[in-house]
Amino acid sequence: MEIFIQLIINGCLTGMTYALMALGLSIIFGTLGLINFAHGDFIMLAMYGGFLISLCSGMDPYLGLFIMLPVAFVLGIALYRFLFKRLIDAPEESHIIATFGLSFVFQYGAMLLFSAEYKSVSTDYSANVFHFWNQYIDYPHIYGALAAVILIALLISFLHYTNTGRAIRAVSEQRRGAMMIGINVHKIYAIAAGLGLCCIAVSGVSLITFESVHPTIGPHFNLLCWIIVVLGGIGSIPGTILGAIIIAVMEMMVGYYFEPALTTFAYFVMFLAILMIRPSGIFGVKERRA
Amino acid sequence: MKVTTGQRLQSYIKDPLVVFIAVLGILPLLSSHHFYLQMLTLVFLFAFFSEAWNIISGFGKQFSLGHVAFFGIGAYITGILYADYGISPWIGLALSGVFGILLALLIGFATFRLRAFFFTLSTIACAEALRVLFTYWRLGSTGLGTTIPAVNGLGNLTFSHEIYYTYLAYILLLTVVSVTYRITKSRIGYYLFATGGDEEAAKSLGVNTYRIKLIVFAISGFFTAIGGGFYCMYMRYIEPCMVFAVDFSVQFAVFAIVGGLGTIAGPILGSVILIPLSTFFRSWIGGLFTPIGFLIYGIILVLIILFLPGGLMKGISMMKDKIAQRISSRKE
Amino acid sequence: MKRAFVNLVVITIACLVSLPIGGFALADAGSKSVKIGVILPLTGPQAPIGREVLRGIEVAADMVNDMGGIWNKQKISLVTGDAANSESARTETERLITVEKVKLLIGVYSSSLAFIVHPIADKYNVVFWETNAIADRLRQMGHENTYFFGPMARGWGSQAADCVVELIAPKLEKDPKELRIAVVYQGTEWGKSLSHDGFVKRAKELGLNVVIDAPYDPNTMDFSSLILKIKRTNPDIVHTQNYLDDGYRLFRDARKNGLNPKVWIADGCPWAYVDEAFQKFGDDMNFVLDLNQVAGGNIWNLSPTTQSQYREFLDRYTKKYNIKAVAASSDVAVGFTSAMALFEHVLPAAGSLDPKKIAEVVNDLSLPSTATARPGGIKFAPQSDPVQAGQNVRAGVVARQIFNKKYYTVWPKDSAEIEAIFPIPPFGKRAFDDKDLKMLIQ
Repeated sequence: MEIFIQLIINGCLTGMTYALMALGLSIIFGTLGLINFAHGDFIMLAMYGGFLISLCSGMDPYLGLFIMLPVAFVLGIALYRFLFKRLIDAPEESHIIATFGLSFVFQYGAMLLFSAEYKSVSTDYSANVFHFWNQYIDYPHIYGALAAVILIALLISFLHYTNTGRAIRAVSEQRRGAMMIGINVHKIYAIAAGLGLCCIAVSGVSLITFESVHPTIGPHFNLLCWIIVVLGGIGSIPGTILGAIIIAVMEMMVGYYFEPALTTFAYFVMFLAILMIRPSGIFGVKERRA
Repeated sequence: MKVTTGQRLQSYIKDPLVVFIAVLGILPLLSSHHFYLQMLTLVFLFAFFSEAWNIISGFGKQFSLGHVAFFGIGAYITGILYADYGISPWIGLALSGVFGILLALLIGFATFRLRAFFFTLSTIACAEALRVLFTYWRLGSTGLGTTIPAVNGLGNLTFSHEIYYTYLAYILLLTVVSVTYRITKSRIGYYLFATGGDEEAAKSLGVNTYRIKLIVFAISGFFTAIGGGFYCMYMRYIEPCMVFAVDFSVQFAVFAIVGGLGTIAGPILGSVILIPLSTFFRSWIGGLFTPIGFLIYGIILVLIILFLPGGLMKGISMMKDKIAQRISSRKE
Repeated sequence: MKRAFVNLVVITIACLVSLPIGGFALADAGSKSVKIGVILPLTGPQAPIGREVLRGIEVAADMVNDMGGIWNKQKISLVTGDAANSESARTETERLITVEKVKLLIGVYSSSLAFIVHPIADKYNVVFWETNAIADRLRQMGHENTYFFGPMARGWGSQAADCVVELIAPKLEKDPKELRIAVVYQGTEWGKSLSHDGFVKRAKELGLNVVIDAPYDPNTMDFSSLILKIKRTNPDIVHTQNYLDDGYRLFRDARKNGLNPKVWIADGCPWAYVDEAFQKFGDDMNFVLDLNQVAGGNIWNLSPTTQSQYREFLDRYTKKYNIKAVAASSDVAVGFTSAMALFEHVLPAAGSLDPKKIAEVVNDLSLPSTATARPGGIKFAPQSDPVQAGQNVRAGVVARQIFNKKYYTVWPKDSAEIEAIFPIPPFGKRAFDDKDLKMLIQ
């Protein structure tokens, strides 16, 4: 029984990590409708960012966010202006191919800059484990989950209680309608892109405290995040979180009670099954585009 | 007015696509250097895969990024039947084709009613799921890798001289190109273009888009699986992570896109240019600079999408038009 | 008119394809140098280790060249091929042989790639000198000119089992048959070969109790469920075989979930040598037992010439690549020792790269363990051997325990530097003072 609890706890914590990873994607896809296949590589770059800041300054990566967040935001806006803007009205395949190209650029660029070794960051609390009742939780995951919770709370308040936030929600639900009431859609898209990249930055920083980074880890993260976003429902942040936790818990259960080598297979099958039954995802809105 | 055979032959010869393919067929004879032939084999083979992919994803606009699933299944069926049971690879290839069709129908049944992008995501998930499954299965057996014994002979699809493989790959390419061509001129092609152009509109006109997509997907899967079987006999060693690698799906797509999505010559062009290019980057620039080559590859991809989404074929036809314009304006 | 234009474009493109490739035919005939090909993964996921092996080979070539080269004062010139994945392994090997015209290849480190590369070398009758330990089946493929310098997986795995009986059980003061052993490994050709076909099989022969035999998908991100499964079996000994990425994650999740066996054997522990791993896990790396095919820093029991040669190698390695070689990673030492054995003991006597001459020399070769920093020594089985054709039958492994970023050999007895310390403290309590090392030698 206590193993079961341990599995659930691990699942939830890992789920929060996954949710943090998928959040940026949810925002960018939910608002701009941009299919970003380089999302995983963005995370990879964010991880390198956290690593570098930590390396150069000796600071904890989370503190590095003070630098990374503004940079991420500006980068998001720049990316929107120079790339995303042109892609939005193009057919979906173009999104996929263009972001694939981007993915190559990121991966090989990282390989040139950082060479092929595995890098990670070791903090004071990396090794600390919180031990109670025969359950073990490690601090990096706790902090990661905390970061996720804070970020989500901030995001949701922003989206519901500020004008810009509401504008973002308006645009993601009904673009034309939003335009008609005078919202500057381009500005909103740019902000959403910046916001998305900020989420990615937080995720990268959190991941580097307990994971190693390598130029080719992007694609794996990418598939995972996409499955989470689609499963949870596009345009829904609670959906993304729930989707992430479901997948993580399922991985734990299948891995323990059944077969560790088949955990990814299990969630792929689950993903496909849910898509067939409810294509819009768990909390997804049925019709999207205007 | 009836078209005589002579006239039809004449029009074939003048058709640039035919010339292109004919020239390709002569290339293997230009040099007997092994490395050259090997590269040509890969060029023809990947052009073949890209063409097969193009049928469903280029003409039909159902963007699949999981085609490696067919590739891997084909490789394994042919490989295991031959290596473990001694069954002739030719029969193996045929069976691979059959399984390719079945897999396509299965995936299509599950996903074609979904929105376009979800289909793409599902294809990736399917391919990955198969990879994990095969890794798990092969792990439990004699060993993760499967080695194909090297007993030469046409019956065993094993040859000592590279040129046989090159021409076999060429024949495969010819086959898929002719089938594609026939499809574009047939009623199925007509419906396919309609579906690809605007599915809702096609449906409202009475086209059974679901059925068309399934048929075409099955054809695409059939060819890809056979190609996978050939690849297995060519490499003589397969492992799940090798033949179910997402890199293949990406390559099939990229070659077609760079060459020209939805055209017949496009995938071939893409393969003809990009494979020697990447070999060049890896072998000749090599070492620490290899990543630069692939980085440029990525940049090219982004640029093509942004500025020339029709790929190189579009570029060529635009140049053609410009020149024609200049000629006719000079006539005045 | 339009048609002609397009035809022209098309034909131009087709020719452009042939051109760069045709240009390959000009492979230069280096007069004063002996071209030797090296095929290793230099980019891609296995690049970190592939590059280390290459560095070892390069240092060996440098040392030999500085001493005058081989044969008639000819310098060794290395030509590299990048086996980033199966396809490039194939094309690069073909390129090295057919374009660069090398007559001898060193490589390839990865078992999967070896299945592709070895047959190609064999097809062209090119001698292949395999540096690392790779899956056993490769010796049974009938390749007459392929030599395997590193140990077989079976042998490696068996030795690990022997180590449990000879070293670990006595230290734990238990009957070996009472010990509960968990075996965890990467689901790959090599992983299975070593852990399952080697270790588990031999363990069962010795009557040892293997409580769980668990292969895993190398792409696994989270090992918690696997670790919990292992914990449930209550193992005394955990025996792992990993690669870098998954090795880190497994160790991290073991720490996170409180898996604290009495002994942790990291077989062929590639992730411990990287500075990185010490950075990540700090003191928790102490006490880990590593079984490996190089003596690493332990050279006290080698002959004086071999010792000074090895020291020179460490020196050059540090200087040339600007890396702080603590004990030199296992893989660079593997590259170095394999290449050195070839350049020093085989090629000079053979007089050329002719496969027959090389075969003669190799068959007569017999060197004790003091002659090379690879444990065991050098002696090759004949190519007619049905199970281990071309295998260096003396190649073996040593067990080394890790303390404060250094490796100390603890087994076999005659190579031991220190007394092994078992049982090991749990995670979090592994700080260690070097004063507590029980040295066996001066």
